[in-house]
Amino acid sequence: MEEIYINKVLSGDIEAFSYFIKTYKNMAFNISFSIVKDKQYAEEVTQDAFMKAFNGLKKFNRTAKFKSWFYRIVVNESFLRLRTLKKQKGFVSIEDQNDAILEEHFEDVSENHIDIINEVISLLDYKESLAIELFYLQEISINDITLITGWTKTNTKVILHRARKSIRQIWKETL
Amino acid sequence: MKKDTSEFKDDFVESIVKKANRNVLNEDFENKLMATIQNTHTYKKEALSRLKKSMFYFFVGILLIGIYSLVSFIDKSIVSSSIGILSILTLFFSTIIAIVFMDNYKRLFKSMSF
Repeated sequence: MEEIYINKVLSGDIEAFSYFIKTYKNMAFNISFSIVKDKQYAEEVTQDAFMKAFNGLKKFNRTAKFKSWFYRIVVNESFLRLRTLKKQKGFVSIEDQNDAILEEHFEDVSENHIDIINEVISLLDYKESLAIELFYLQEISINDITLITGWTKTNTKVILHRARKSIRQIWKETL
Repeated sequence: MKKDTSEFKDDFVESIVKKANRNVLNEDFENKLMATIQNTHTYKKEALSRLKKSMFYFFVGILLIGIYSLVSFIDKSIVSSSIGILSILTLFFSTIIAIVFMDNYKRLFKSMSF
């Protein structure tokens, strides 16, 4: 199916690219959000990723899955944005934010179950939240995760283990 | 699940993360993005077409200069025709460069303002 749309775009039918936007926009946004932890930045990164994918479609190696290739672009753009943000003066790192949120959270625990869950997810390190997003929510295999993130298989498993441990720990502390 | 993922099968973690609010983009994200892509694509096409035209006129100009140089060389003395050819070549190249630069800057400024 995607092959058809790729061919259409490459032969000049620009509107055909909207198929990829419709299919992947929310997934790309969530992946980006798991890294940059900010909706506005995540939206900008998603837009940049789609532009890059459109411009790079000619070079796309069709033996690979479009999904993996595109998610790789999203992850790279997200990490790039995160690096830029960290260099900016006044940007509070995720680790510092997490400490501040944890302290605040222990003083005033939300009664809303979903709020607690959202809080738990937002407290994860960006690699851990990305691994959780890709493995449990997007249901992508470990091999494909290594292709998307550039991590080794061992590293991916370590990050997933850590993520699961972090979720359990934060959940316990929250309750 | 496949063999390498069975060690990560975790109902508790899965139930937690699947209950979290999923972020969704604005409705108009797609339209805005397609408009940007269309504009970029149109600009590139137009720029390419203009570049090709410029190159065509450039080569026609070179050809005309070549023909004129040849005629001058045959007709007049070598020294006077060399000076004449050099002056014409300098004038020609300066004009082409000036037009190309002015035109490109004008287009760039116009296209960047959308």
